Amino acid sequence: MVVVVGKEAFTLRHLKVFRREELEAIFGELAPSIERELSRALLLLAPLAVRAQVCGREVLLTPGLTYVRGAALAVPGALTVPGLLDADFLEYLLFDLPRVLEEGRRAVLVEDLDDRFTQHEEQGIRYALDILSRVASAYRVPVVVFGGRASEEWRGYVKRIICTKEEGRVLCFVDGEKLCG
Amino acid sequence: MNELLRILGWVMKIGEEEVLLSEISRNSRKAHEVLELLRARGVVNVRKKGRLTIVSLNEKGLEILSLLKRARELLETQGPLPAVAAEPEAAGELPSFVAGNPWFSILAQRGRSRVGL
Repeated sequence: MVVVVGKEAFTLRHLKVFRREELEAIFGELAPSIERELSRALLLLAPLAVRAQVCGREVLLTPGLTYVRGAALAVPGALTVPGLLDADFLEYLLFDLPRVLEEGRRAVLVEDLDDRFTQHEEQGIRYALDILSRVASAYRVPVVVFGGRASEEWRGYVKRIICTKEEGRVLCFVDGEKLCG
Repeated sequence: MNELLRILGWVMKIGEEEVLLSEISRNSRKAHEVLELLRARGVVNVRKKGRLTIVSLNEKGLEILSLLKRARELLETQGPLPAVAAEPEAAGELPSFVAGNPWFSILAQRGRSRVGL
């Protein structure tokens, strides 16, 4: 079902990505009726899990956010979020990414998250992760975030894959457990 | 104790989603047994859609889920414990991801001009 609000059309699943505060701030007096519609809707999707390769080993990525630092991760068929910055980036995550997933669900890759904001970096990263976790939850897809130290702090990851170099060797860990090296 | 841990485990597993009974377990007997356990403690909403049974956490379940998430945060924290908000959020106060986040208003403005409202 598609809901047309002003100049844009949204699926109910897309609207489910919005938080109540966002619905109110963006859709104004239409927000309560959108919320009512959402509460009546039945939105079911099977979880999408994909297999990725890290240092030649296979890792299963399940719906939710996976944090990756220092690792080259091969995720076949994944959608890479364009290299947008600041508000363009957040706008893409909330308005455009769900539309791309409507056409075909797949894993999502977000590169260089820590460098996506030229100001208010910490709040921007936090907000981007919040939106991405809602997208992952509504569409039940894995979202892989390549980040640095700033995004590592966030607590909502379902998995953390971290690779480091020690004495010329690459060591990779998944949730603290050694994967290779 | 085992029953309590099982309930907490299922609350975490269901999370904020609506799940099919068959997603709780493909073994129908086990799925119904889990559902009865959760229902007896009044932590889930159950609704039928044709032949499908859909399960989600109710208000009590979601409250337990948020406490479990808080417990996980504490377990994962190294060093001094992070303080819980000193005062509960007043009614109508903005949630933490919005409060003081300049990107919220920037994105809201972008959204409003996109939809043209």
